[in-house]
Amino acid sequence: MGRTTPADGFDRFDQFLSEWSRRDFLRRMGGAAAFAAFSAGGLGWLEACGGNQAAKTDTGKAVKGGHIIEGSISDIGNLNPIFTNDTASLQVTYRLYDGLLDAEANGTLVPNLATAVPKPESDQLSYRVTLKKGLKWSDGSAITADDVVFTYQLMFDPKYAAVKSRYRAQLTEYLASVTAVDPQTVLFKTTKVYAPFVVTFMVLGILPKAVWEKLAPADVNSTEMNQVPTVVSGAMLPVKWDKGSQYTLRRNDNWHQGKTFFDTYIFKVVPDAVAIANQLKTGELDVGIVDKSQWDSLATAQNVSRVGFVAPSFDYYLQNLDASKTPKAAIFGDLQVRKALLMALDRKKIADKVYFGQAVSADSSIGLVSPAHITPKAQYPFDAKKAEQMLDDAGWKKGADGIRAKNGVRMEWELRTNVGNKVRETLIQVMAEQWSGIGVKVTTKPVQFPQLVTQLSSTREFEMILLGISESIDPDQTQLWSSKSIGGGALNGAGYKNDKVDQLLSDAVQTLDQKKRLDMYHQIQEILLQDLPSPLIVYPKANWGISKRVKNFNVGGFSQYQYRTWFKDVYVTDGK
Amino acid sequence: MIQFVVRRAVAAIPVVIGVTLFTFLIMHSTIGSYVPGLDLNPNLKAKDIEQIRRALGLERPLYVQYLDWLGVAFIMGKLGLAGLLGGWQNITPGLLEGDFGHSLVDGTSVAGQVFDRLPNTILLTVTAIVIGVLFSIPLGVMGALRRGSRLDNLFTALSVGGVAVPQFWLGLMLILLFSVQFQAWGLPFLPSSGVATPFGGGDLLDRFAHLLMPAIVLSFVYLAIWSRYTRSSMLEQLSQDYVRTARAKGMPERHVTYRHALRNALIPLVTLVGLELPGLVSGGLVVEAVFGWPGIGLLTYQRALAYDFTMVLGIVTFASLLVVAGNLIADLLYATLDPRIRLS
Repeated sequence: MGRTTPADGFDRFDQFLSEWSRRDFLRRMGGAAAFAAFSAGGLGWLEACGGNQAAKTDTGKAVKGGHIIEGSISDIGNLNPIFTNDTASLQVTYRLYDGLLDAEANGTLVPNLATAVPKPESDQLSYRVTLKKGLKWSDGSAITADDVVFTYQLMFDPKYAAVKSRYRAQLTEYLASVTAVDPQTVLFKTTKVYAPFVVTFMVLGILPKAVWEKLAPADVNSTEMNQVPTVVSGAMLPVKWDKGSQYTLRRNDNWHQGKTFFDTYIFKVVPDAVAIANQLKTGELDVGIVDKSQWDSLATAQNVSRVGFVAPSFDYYLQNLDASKTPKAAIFGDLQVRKALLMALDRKKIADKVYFGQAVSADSSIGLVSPAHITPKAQYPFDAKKAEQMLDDAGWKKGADGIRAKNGVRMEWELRTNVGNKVRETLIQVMAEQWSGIGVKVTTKPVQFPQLVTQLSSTREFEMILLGISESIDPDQTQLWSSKSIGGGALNGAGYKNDKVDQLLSDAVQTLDQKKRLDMYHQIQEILLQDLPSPLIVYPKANWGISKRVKNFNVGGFSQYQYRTWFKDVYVTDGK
Repeated sequence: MIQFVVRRAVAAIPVVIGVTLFTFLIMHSTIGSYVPGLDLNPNLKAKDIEQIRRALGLERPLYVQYLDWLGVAFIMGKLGLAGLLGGWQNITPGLLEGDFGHSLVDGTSVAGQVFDRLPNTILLTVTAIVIGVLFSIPLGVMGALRRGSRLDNLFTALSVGGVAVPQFWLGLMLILLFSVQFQAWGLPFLPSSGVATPFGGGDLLDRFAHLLMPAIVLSFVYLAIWSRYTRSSMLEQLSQDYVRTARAKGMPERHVTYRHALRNALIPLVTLVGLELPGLVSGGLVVEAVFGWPGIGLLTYQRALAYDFTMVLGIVTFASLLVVAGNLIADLLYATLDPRIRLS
């Protein structure tokens, strides 16, 4: 067996790409389309594509009327804010319902139905929220504190136990009571000091009590109003849901932020993210997230702007550190090995090749978008030679077959990821290739998502798993790194235990002083980068295509699906 | 005749139960501790997941979940036999209560989803079948009448191609050419997905434009297979004694071919077309997925990927009922076309 260097790995990967696979086929298809558009005179090449360039708002020349069609690769599911789960549904739910608070691209909370972002009262447990004056439901009736109280009761009050709210367990733990002080004021009392309370629960959409209190609790789960509500508070009103096809919305003239410039907004279901790119080119769609493979070809479409930015998410790999679950823990338990493995990955090249340039190398345990992100001191730039040296020094010597071993444990394991995610399926192969260059034998195995979740969060019988995580605005990562989150459905499947990290994570959610809290997350990041339990590989970008006839569609950071504070400024230049 | 139909309907019951039980077990064997519809979300704590799992009834033993889905648990409750369920609750209305169930992922009604999409699927499949029948019979007959000719060889090559070319590939190629490239060339182009233009569309011409590509792609396989069947069946009939007799009696060749031979040659085709009825669900799956055609195939595809068991189970039940009905209709048509077959 000859040795393979990471460069060889990429050559092989290139070769793999040049073979006839569907992925490659799609890529070529995009390329062909790009070439055709280019030769037809499309020279929109120099489009801005690093960061959200469109984040300028100018409504001076705004045109009234018209429609916008947004592409989505899945149909809506449940549009009731107390159930809403997936991104497609979030996109529609929060055009229909407003919450007390909203959030901007960088995660900053801003008032929506509330007059201000509430601060904790002197007891550290209570939050007083005042509603704006003159708020109206779409039927003209007033939005009052009673509606707010009712919505939270549905989610946590035992009398509505039959309602399958996804927040019940957490709210039962953290929310003591919610009461209407007067028609404009709501008082939340929490059971204990919990810093993420406001950002987690006060952004949820509020339901109209008069409509929903008529239903028996069990019927709340299955009413058709979960897909087509009758009374709403948001920018748009529901018109029609054509299942599997599109969801049509029209302007809500009672919206408290004013009327939107356009009249109609349509969410159209499109087969996949490659088709979204194609339909942006043909003008069948106005906005949508495109497949990374189509990003370059989209540059040639004269009618489309590209907005790419780092999304609040990361892809990372878990190394099972629990010796009771796998003998490979003997390998991953060695800190020098964990460091060497990360250093042997050429993450810049991975971002360029596997993610088509639409990702950046990760440098911490928290995503770039989060205000809590720092670049810790310990960094592991690509250096295969040094990685080999570190493994040699740590006693992992190469055997006759070129595979390293120590005390009879060979450096070989199985790397899994979920089937169907093309980027990740490719990435595990590239990782295996790169590691083979330093004397490590890795076999790859894509498995079904439910199995992966089970292996990660319950049985914990795995050696190494590659996964992606979408981040919430709050930087709390107890689920990922706390030793309380090992097994039982939680996500610390690697079995990482560090008392200091446990303490910091627990203290941080009980600290309401933002500065002190941030400082704790900075410390956590420093420790995690020294310990490297589950290293982050890249921060992928979100890749939006936006028709040039649509203005002020300022997606960026956290402001993509639920939070669209700029929605009131959006207009179409042709008014059609 | 009525007796025949009733007997077949009764025989369908074990088929449907078998199919649903099999689907149920296979799907459940794939999920482990995963709760359909939940992503890996650091915001969602272990106890939240546990609570959602309980709310969906997923912590109950498999047999209880199946009996609940079937509606037997409900009936057992009515008969005072709920004790046999080991204290587990019946939480959803079941099949025997006339309810196909609700989605595990978003709570929507399975029947609502299926029946809303049924017209789209029927439109697509029926159009494709009509195109298939209209073209495959003349092609098959021509091939049989001029066996070995260049035309026949050409048809053979085309139908081999029709079977061999994957539908998704053909679909993507057509989209690339007629939607993306035609638009880039400034020509009128066909819409690449959906049943109608989302805004301001929906008139007859618009719907026809949307239907054209998926229907052609779907009919391509039908066309390829059915024309071959027609050809070989026609060849067989043309060598029969009754054809020779007819010719010997001086009957014009056109009559011999079309009135006598063709009629008998069509019998196998009727079975094949009848068997395409369940294709209302499965046959169009790939084409519906490629063209974003909001039919039952696309629903099945998406819900299977989302591990939405109750939805898939409902669709499978529906499909198995269609298979049974399709076979029955084919049998009845047989008897009409071929007097030698008696229903008994």
